[in-house]
Amino acid sequence: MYIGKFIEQEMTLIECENGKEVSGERTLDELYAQGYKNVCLVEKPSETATCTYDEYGDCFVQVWHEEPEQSDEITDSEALQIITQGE
Amino acid sequence: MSVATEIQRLQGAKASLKTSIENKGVTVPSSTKLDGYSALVEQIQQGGDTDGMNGFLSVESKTISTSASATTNITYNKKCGILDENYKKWDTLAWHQRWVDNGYSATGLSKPIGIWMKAFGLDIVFLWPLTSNVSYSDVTGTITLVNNVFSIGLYNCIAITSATAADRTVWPANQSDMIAHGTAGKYKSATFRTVNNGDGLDMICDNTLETFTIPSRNVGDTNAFMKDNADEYMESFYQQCEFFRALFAICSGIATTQPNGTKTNVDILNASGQQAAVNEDMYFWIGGTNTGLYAKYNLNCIPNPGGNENNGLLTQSIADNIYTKQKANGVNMNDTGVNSSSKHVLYEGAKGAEAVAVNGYWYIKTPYLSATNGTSFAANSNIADAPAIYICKHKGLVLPTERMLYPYWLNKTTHISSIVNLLKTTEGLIDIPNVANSFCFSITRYNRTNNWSVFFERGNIQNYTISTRCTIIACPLSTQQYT
Repeated sequence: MYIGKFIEQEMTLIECENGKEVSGERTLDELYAQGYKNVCLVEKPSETATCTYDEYGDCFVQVWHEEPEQSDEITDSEALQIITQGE
Repeated sequence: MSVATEIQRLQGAKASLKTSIENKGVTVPSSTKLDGYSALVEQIQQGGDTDGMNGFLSVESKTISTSASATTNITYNKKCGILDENYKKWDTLAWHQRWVDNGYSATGLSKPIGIWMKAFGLDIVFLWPLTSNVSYSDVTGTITLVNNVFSIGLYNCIAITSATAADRTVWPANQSDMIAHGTAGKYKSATFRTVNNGDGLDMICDNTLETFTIPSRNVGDTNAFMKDNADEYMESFYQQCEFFRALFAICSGIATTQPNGTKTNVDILNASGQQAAVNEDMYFWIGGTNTGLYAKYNLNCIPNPGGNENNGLLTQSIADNIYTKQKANGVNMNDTGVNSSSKHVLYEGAKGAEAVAVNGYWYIKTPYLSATNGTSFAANSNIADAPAIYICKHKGLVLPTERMLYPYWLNKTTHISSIVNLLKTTEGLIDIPNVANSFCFSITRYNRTNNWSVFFERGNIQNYTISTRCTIIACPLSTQQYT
């Protein structure tokens, strides 16, 4: 399993098993105390390019995206498509 | 009262208390003693459990075993889990523990067929995105085969949801020479009627003397998020498709003594009664007799009941064009042409040409085509109507309304993705379809040309042209019983 924490806006993942980190000596409890949370990883879908991590109460959830920079804005071509689809 | 009886009474009361606490969503470990129950009662949320009422299910992580020496984290909510092939709803953790207990193997275990959740105040089951083992092409067999995307039928047709005081004319009244019962290629009648039937509606076709019943009249055009009567919409769509095929059935000219409503097969063969070769004319045959009618699609003339009946979408020129292309490609509407095995015109569950007995004559119904661009031939539009409807009807499923569908989007990046990843990656069930990420049709009508859909890449709810081919996430009928 992986736990993670945003350090300087980058997600830092640490692999843990048997209650401690695989490549170190810190225990899970120590890492949790340092602000790390469980990370729920999802295998990368083939059509995706980048991932982000959404934060919830006790964990981060990995989310994959098709484009590196997803805009919240609807593009002109998309807007035209939507308009022509509707009546 | 004896001590034993008193102990028995206390044990019964404790068991009832345990059930009541668990019904409020708090797990009671079997080892909990009576004096530990007050702490569990404190965990019961005030005002009831409202998680998911806004569509979102809260997220917590659970660490699960992936092998004897490794673990991983998954998102978890007790209101979302896995449906198996026996229609058993599994808690995700219980489902996975079964896999662990089976030696980290899915061999011999029941297979998952979808995801269940409680959201928006609804109990929803999302089966895996619909797939079909039959690819299909347009009616000419000339465009790329299509698989696993489906349109919804009766393009440009209003929902018939009310009774009529008088007969409605469907065939152009100014073409009365087309009405000639018993004559090949003609129609018996140009009218239909609608009569209330309880909460439903009977649609009575005077051409074939058949009655098609929709279970509820509450299936008209509507704004988004107003409906969750998916079963009723689904049956309405299906019955209207069948009704429209009947409205334009043509007389074969072949007599029968069978009672009205009796169905029989229609073969499509050459003039000699053999399978037509490429570029050879194809005819409708019934019971070993050639009707002399070319195997063309029946025209449709009612894009808008009560509207302009002279503006049918499948015109004679388009029907002729389709027939010419079918001849050239060796395919036909019954998938019995020499090339039909590689160019399926019929999708799974679709009906080809068939005949029905009407007052002593066989009348031929063909698949209904309503998205033919009205005035000209458009190859990628000419798909026999309503693949989504017929394939779901064939499989005993329904399309959800967009209100039912939207929680899929709201929980897509959390629980839906986590469960699909668990099944595919951890448990090795690689045949599980990927999470839906495209436009997905709902069954809810917006207007005569559009249904509501949900775009699972970004979450748009928008009405979308029903002749477009989209992903379908079907649901079991609401009457389905679960364990």
